Amino acid sequence: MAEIGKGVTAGKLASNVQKRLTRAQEKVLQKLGKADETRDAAFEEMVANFNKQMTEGTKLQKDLKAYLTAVKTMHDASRRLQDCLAEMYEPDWFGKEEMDAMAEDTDTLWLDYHQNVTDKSLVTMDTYLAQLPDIKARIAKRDRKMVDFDSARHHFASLQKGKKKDEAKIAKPAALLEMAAPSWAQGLISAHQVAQTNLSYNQAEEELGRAQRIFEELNVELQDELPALWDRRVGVYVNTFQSLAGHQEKFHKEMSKVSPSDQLINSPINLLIYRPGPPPSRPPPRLTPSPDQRQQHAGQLEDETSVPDANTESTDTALQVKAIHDYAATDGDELELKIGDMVLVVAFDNPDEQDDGWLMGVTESSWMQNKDISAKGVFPENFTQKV
Amino acid sequence: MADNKMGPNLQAGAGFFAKRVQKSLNRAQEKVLQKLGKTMETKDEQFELCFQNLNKQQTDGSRLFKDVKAYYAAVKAMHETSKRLSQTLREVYESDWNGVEDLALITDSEDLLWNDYEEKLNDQIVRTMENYTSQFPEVKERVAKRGRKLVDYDSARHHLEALQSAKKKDEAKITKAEEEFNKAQNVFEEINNELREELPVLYQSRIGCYVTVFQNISNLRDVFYKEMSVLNHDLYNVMKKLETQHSGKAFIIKGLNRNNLTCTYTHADVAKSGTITPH
Repeated sequence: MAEIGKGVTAGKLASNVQKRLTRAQEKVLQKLGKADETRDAAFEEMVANFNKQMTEGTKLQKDLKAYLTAVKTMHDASRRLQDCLAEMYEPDWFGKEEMDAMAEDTDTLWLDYHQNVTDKSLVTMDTYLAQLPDIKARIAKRDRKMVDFDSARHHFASLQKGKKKDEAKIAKPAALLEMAAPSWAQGLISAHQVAQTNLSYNQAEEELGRAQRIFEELNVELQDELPALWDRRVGVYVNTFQSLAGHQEKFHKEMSKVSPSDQLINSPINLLIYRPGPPPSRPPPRLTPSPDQRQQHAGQLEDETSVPDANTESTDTALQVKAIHDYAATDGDELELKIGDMVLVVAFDNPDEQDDGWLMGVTESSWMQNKDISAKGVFPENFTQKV
Repeated sequence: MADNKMGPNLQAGAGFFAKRVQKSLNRAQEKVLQKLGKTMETKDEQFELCFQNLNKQQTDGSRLFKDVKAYYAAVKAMHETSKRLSQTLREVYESDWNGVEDLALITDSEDLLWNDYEEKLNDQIVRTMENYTSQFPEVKERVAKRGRKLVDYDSARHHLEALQSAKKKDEAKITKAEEEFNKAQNVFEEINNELREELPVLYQSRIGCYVTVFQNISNLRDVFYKEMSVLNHDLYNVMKKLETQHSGKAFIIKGLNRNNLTCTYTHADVAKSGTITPH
């Protein structure tokens, strides 16, 4: 580098110190010639790396954009499915509000995810890539300036060579001209010739110096910047993908949380949408048990001092069922059911009275309240489920 | 014996009586047929409801099928783009960078997870909807057939009615018409009863189908998200390790131009001195 510095300033030497200039220039140019070559190989590698990083970055940006488009499409498809389900949902089915809330939450999550990835990862890539075209342009400019420098060099070198020749060439005719010239013009012609030659020589020298300066400036800058830029690509990739992975993790975790509630999940799906068929028909209304009969039963129960135990009442009262659909009692002896009610099944007082598909029982809540089965009633079996 | 005792007047009377009986019998038959006509009308109205339900069910089913297919396609697109991103990352990853093997493992696992998700979606949801919607054309064809048989039945009925209410009865024709009528009735009733049983069942089955589809989607999605989030976390860690390895080369987002050279150090400087010395 020191040599180059000397060479540059050498170009500004006074034009009348030609010999010194020539030699110095030659030396410098030699060295310069050699240095150019080694430098160029290294520089070529830097340029190759730069191009590689630009290609890589462009591909990553393209892939990321394609991914984001797919995310949007997925969001839309997901929403359309949700709309389908919402439309089929009849208003009196259980869980409509919850489902709507879920749909909204999901929608928000999708939007946030898309936004985050765009703002963080894509913007990182965009910003990084945006600076590359300028550098590419400067590399091209450096190439051009190098050519300028080379041609200035060669021109100057050829002038140097030609100078001696010229001097020899015009020496004789100049001398003749001198002899033929009037006395007042003596020396002028040769002086003019010398001046002319010196002028173009100096011009070439100046141009060379200028070209060299311009080239060197660009060259040095790029030689510093390119390796640093190459290294910085790691940071860009890290930022992009770390951010992407982070947002993906967050999105997936939160999506899996927006799940149907326990009620919607744990109860059999029947609870959601089950519409039991009509209760089996019952024969014409039976004679309701006479009031005294009822009293008798109740009386019997009240007599028992032991802890009321459904099990002692009949053989199959170990049976518990859960109402999976509301049932509105249509007769005095029927049991009203609400979804989720636990019902203790008891035997019919008179087995003959039992109709197909109907059971007798008492709700757990009224059992707990009254501690007896006076509130028992009949209910359709298909509105319940064994537990 | 009765003939001898009966006088010519009585005979004529008997004939007259027989005619009257015959007439009223025919009229009764007429009424029955007319009533049948009314019943058929009512029945057909009820069937109309079934038919409307069937159409709605088919339309809804087609729409859901279409949306399910779109969903499946979207999943595949996400898989594809995600895979390409991962592949590009692997391509730019130098072999001496931290976590190069972990990265390979993670991206392979992600791919497997996607494939599994896609496959299950296809089997449990796309196929289900496909099977569900494919049953409608056949049913509709049978409904159309019922319609045609109803027309036959109706026209046989009209024909018979016409013959019976004619001034001059042609017994032979009536008998034949009765035969045809009965045949048409049987054919119609058979297909009508079949459909009357099947259509409500079919209509009810839509609920089971929808429920299956939505529950399956929900379950598959949950499993996929849970497992994918683990892989995401792993990738995050790999990136963190890479960052640590290259912490000397912090990324500066600045415009780089000649007048504003912001590069403060080069890799060479760090390597040489082990510390970061600005120029």
